[in-house]
Amino acid sequence: MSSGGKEAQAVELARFFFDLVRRESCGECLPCALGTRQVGVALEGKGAEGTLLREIGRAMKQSSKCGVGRIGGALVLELLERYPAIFKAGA
Amino acid sequence: MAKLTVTIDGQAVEVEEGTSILKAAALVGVRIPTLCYLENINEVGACRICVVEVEGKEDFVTACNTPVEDGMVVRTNTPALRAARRTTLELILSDHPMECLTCVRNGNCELQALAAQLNVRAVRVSGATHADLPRDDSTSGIVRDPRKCIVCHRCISVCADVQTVGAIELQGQGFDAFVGPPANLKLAETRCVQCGQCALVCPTAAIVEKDDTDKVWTALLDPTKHVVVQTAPATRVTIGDMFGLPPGTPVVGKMVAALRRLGFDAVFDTDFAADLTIMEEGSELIERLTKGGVLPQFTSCSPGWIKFIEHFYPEFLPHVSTCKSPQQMFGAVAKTYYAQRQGIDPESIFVVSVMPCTAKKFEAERPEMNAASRYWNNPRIARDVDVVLTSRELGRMLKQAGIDFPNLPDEEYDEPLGLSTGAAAIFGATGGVMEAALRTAYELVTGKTLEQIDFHAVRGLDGIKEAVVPMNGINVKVMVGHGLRNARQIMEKLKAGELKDYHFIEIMCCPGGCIGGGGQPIPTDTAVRQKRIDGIYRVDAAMPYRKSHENPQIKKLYEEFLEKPLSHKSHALLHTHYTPRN
Ligand code: SF4
Ligand code: SF4
Ligand code: SF4
Ligand code: SF4
Repeated sequence: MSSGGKEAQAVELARFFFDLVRRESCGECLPCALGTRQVGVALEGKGAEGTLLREIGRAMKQSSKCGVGRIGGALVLELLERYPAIFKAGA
Repeated sequence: MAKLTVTIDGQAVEVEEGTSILKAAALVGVRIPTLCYLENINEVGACRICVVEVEGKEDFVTACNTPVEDGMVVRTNTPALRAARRTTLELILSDHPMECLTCVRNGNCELQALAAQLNVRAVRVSGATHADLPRDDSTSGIVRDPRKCIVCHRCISVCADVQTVGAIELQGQGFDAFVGPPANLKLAETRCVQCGQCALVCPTAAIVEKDDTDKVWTALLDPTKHVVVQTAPATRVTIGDMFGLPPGTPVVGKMVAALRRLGFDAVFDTDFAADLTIMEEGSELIERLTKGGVLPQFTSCSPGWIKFIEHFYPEFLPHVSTCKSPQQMFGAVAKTYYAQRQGIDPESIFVVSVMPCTAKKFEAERPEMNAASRYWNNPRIARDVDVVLTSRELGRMLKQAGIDFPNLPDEEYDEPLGLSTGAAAIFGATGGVMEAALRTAYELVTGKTLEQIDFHAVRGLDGIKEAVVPMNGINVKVMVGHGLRNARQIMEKLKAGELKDYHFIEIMCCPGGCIGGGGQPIPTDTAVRQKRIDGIYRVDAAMPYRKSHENPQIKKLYEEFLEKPLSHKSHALLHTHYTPRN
């Protein structure tokens, strides 16, 4: 399989996980509620990239109230590390 | 309690077990930034701005609600923390309408202040907002603008825990979560009592008082109107807050001068009507005591409390005094007695109130509050009180008019509705109505002079206070509650039959009484409330008359017009009825 295929799979998986995090996000704490939404936008290729997205991921991971936001944040950081291209427009 | 030692930014400090990191840090001069935190009321850790690093923990913890542990090493100002706080705040701002220049909280907004404190110079995030959430101006007292809501939970906590009303909650989930009444109801369709305590604690302009200042500017310009103003007891120690004076500073003379400069035709005092309330309510109590009426009698001057009992305990409405609040008594007297005495057409009189309170706006709009119209049999006299301004709105008008409030000379109220007593002034604080009533009832019942007129047992910020006062062989038992949580507790006791031997109970809807009302200057917290209470008792102590029945203008009002307390005319103008809302 080409790396493009792998990346497509990753994007799909990332979207799937993010949908999960988004559905689980209760709205009680702000980095999670607002951060997941922004990552969602980024995954559509319309939002934050690079440094800013990394900061959002970090804030979610380190500041969120519970595991939902923390795992969501960790996922963003992991994806940025491995497949930064998936957050870019047209990915 | 055990003492623990923690190190905060390199400084060791010893604190009691259970102390939060936030409070421990304050002891060593470190003010960790916060946003949603409200001491003792909202310690939910929603905003995550107060995050700190704790040695040995991978993720950050919130300083506001994490208790210190012995030997804990805390860092509050690292690059990672600064970045996290700023990113969180940028996320918040990305979903916030940047309307500061036209916003009523401009210059007194905690979100604005935090953005300045965290040195935010750009909002890099964009893309998703709640900008389409509709404004809710369905109530008379407060307006909600959910676009400006940052979901800090303060209003939810205040409404549910301090007031036990629960009109607004977190709706929805995740990013779509917002704060409002359930099932997309308008606030006016809920049991909201319009106390405005939510507006008082909201860090932004997402809940504010309804602005009626334009109506007052228009009336002041209208040459056909005789515009009079009345000032509530509690406002005399709070207006100064908005002009940089220390909380609790008595400013009654300056307030009178300022109102005159705004152009009111007469500057009167709700305190006059508070004295009148004592005459009527005290007489009602004596009548209930001697004629076997429903006891205990409850006070009726707080419209938030009245709406609360109408919603939650309507079966006990016969316990509530039939006396109108001082604001409404004033309106009725101004458009009847005053009009007649001065030879002014009652139709042309326009009554403005300056109140600590958003619920007073609701009260003035209650359909039954048109006694003058009924008295003159003139449907063109619409309301007894035409416009209610909160303290905050008056502050805005004074600023707009360029009035240099702190440097104004002290001026006196106008005659005849401007003379009042110390007993009326203390109406502004929890326990004050009770104390004023006791000062008068004692002398009316016993015919003796009351030597010790300070009733310390009913003063102060304890939630529920009690006293027993012997009068002619009866031990009069009284109780005082403020804040609706305490009111509810008292109502549950009444329901359980535990208050059978009590005679008189004072309830004020807002914590601390009207000095802590929902229309008062922001911030209003416990420390500020205490200072205002101290201020109001200082005002009382300095008054030439301190008992309502000694007010010479009140005596005159009865002689010239009302005849006597509970007279036919008094009943028509000064008493009212209630509406069960279950
Ligand atoms: S609520 Fe505060 S931050 Fe928001 S527009 Fe008003 S002043 Fe600005
Ligand atoms: S005005 Fe009072 S009752 Fe109404 S929502 Fe606000 S806090 Fe609750
Ligand atoms: S309305 Fe105000 S107090 Fe309530 S959650 Fe929103 S920002 Fe906080
Ligand atoms: S306690 Fe005072 S400020 Fe609060 S609702 Fe009652 S009258 Fe208004």
